[in-house]
Amino acid sequence: MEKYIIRRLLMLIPVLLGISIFAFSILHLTPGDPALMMLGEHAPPQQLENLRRSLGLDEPLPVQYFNWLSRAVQLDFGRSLRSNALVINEIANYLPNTAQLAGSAVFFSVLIGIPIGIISAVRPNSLLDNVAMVGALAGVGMPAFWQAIMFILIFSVTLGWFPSSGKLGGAAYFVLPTMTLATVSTASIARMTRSAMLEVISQDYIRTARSKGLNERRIVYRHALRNALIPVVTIIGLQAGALMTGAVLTETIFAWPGIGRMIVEAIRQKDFPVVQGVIMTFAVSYALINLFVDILYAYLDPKIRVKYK
Amino acid sequence: MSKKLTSVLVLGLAMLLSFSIFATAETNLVVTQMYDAVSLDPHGENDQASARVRRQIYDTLVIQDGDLNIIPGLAKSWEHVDEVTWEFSLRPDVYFHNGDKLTAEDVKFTFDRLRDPDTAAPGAFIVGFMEDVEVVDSMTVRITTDGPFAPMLAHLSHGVTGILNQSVVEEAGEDYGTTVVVGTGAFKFDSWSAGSHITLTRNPDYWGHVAEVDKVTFRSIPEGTVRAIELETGGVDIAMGIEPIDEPRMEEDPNVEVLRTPGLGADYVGFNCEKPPFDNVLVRQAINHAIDMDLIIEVVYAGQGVRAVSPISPTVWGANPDLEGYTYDPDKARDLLAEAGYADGFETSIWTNDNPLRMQAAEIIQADLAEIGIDVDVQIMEWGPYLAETGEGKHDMFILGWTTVTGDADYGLFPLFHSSTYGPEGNRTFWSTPRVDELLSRARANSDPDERLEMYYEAQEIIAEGAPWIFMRAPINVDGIRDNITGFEPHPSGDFFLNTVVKN
Repeated sequence: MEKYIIRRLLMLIPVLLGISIFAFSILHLTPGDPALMMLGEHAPPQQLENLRRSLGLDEPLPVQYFNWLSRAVQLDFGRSLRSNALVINEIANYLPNTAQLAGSAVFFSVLIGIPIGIISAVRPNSLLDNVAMVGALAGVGMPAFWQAIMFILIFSVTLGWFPSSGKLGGAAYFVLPTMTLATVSTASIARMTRSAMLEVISQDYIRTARSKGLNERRIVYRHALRNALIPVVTIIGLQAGALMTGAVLTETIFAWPGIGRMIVEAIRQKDFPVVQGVIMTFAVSYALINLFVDILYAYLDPKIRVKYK
Repeated sequence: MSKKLTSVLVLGLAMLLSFSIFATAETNLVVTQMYDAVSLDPHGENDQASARVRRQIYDTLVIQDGDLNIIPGLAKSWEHVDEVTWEFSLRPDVYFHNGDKLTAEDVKFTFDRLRDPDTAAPGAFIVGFMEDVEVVDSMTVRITTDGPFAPMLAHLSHGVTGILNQSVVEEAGEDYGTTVVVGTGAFKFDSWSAGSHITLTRNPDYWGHVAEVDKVTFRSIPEGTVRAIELETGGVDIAMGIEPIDEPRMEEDPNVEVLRTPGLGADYVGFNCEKPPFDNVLVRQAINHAIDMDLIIEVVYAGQGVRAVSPISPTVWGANPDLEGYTYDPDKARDLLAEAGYADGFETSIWTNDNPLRMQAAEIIQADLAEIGIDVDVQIMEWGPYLAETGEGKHDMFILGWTTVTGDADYGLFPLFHSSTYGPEGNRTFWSTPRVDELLSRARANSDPDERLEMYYEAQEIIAEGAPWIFMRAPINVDGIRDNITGFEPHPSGDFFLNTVVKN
């Protein structure tokens, strides 16, 4: 088990290095003088000079990259060009909001998605199954920005139940963005659970279990579900990653002070240190979620554990 | 979901809602705008979102009222000692939010910091005219300019000149403007939840009109529709920037009042007047007649603006009220083009950055010019190269905007039409005339307002005639307030003062 985890951890290094090269080069891939582009047309020459010096733009590229990387591994992404705040502090301000929202969305989509998937698989082609799967298809298909506006229209404007934007207080502010985010992932999880369960249920050992006279409930939860969970865990992991990094639209519409909005603002303001810092944060959170999923595999699947004994 | 769980949830929700209703004993005015502030240091980023918050926290030496008249601020009076020297007497009853008394030292410190190249303040251009700042005594400060500079008071009313507390700024160092913010204004900085909201509280010891509300919350809501919905549902009291698509619904809502304030901006298409065929004034006039500008304003800008007749918005002090602009007249355009020797038209290009509204405007211009035989290629560019290359004069035509942030014609004309500013400094059309140069230089140096007005009127006539631009639009700012809000007057600059606002 440890060997497996260590191996997975080591595999993170090349991935993160690759992304760091990308994050570093966005500044240099865009045409024009980076300093002028960041500071705009009215920038005084002195300010341009200061910025060039602080970014080390006169050094050869590999040297610049190495300098940047050696600071980045110490979590030093420099200061925002706009607010002058430390990038890492800004990330620390915004990231928890995204994590809370993503966490609540994952929680509800697992809570709702897996039971729907199981029920559909146990009674395939029943009315319930058909309704659930059409619903799931719609859930996957509806664009988040449209859903968000619909939820706001229904639950804030018409019914007046929940605030339409912001994170100024407690649970009420979480409801609509969580619903928006959870719709897609609930649907994906339900569909994946259903197909994985269907595959497992038709296997010989389930028939054996049934012929032994085990009750259906025990067969479904003990024998089928556990084996069907591997692809479901994968999709949950992917969804969690996507929710951490892909909540850009939802956060923008709901004025949620999360990291997705932070990077949109930073891109608009051409605040490169912030963009770089957020990209690396995205990369690390995605990688960590994947690592966690991999570890969960080993827990769920003895075959994987045995391989690394 | 079980019935029990549902009822628990509903109960919980009801409790949350009732708390929020009964806990508001103090008045909290909620203002929303598109972006979050960037820095509350006036010498930090010079963006509108920050400027609006800073207006409530800091005071300037003089204030420009809604009609762009200059009235006393922290300076109770001033004297024009000689052509290049101004002396300001400070109010003796002004205290910073931390209790320190305002002194002339703070004023000198503020302006010196703003001008210091090491500060690299994006707003430093506002005080580009300053030669020196001297403390005469603790309540008197003397400013010397690098030449006679009549629009000086308008510049000193701009938000970036808000007066700082020297000891606080020096102590806070890099943290000034994010966690430490101290001014003399009607509201004190309380807290900043990044990306979400900024809270200010009433300054009970304010030297001027003490604020009517206890608290102000500035929220950033990037989506226009959500901003409008928050206003509709009463989540916010004031929403800055109602987008065209939401405007009709807001107009119909009895609980919402829509405010339309003419702004200080100007949108224009600039020609490269050094490059044929745009070196020919007839061609430039022909193109001005060929564009259906009312259509562009209606379709692209959804009526949020008026057709420009002058290079400066009619709101700006010094705008010539007698100009009529170019009417939409394709026949006249064809005649002018033929007279210029281009009866068969020509091929050219129009540049724009990736601003969607400008891109749409460029397409309509392209279609209108095709009508008179001019074949236009629309080119969309990255902002960086766009600015650099229009500054070098590599373009044929380009679309840009300019905001006369000081509200004084000098700032709307000098950088754009004086021959000393060719290129990246502002005059990207490379057009001027000796007479315009003379008028702009003299008006800048003349301290008599009536004489200045006359010079600006004449300069605008010559510019309109010379047509280095296609005069496009003077934008109108559209904001919304709840019907229980009174005393809110948005300034043409887009700023506002909240101390006079009452929430009933």
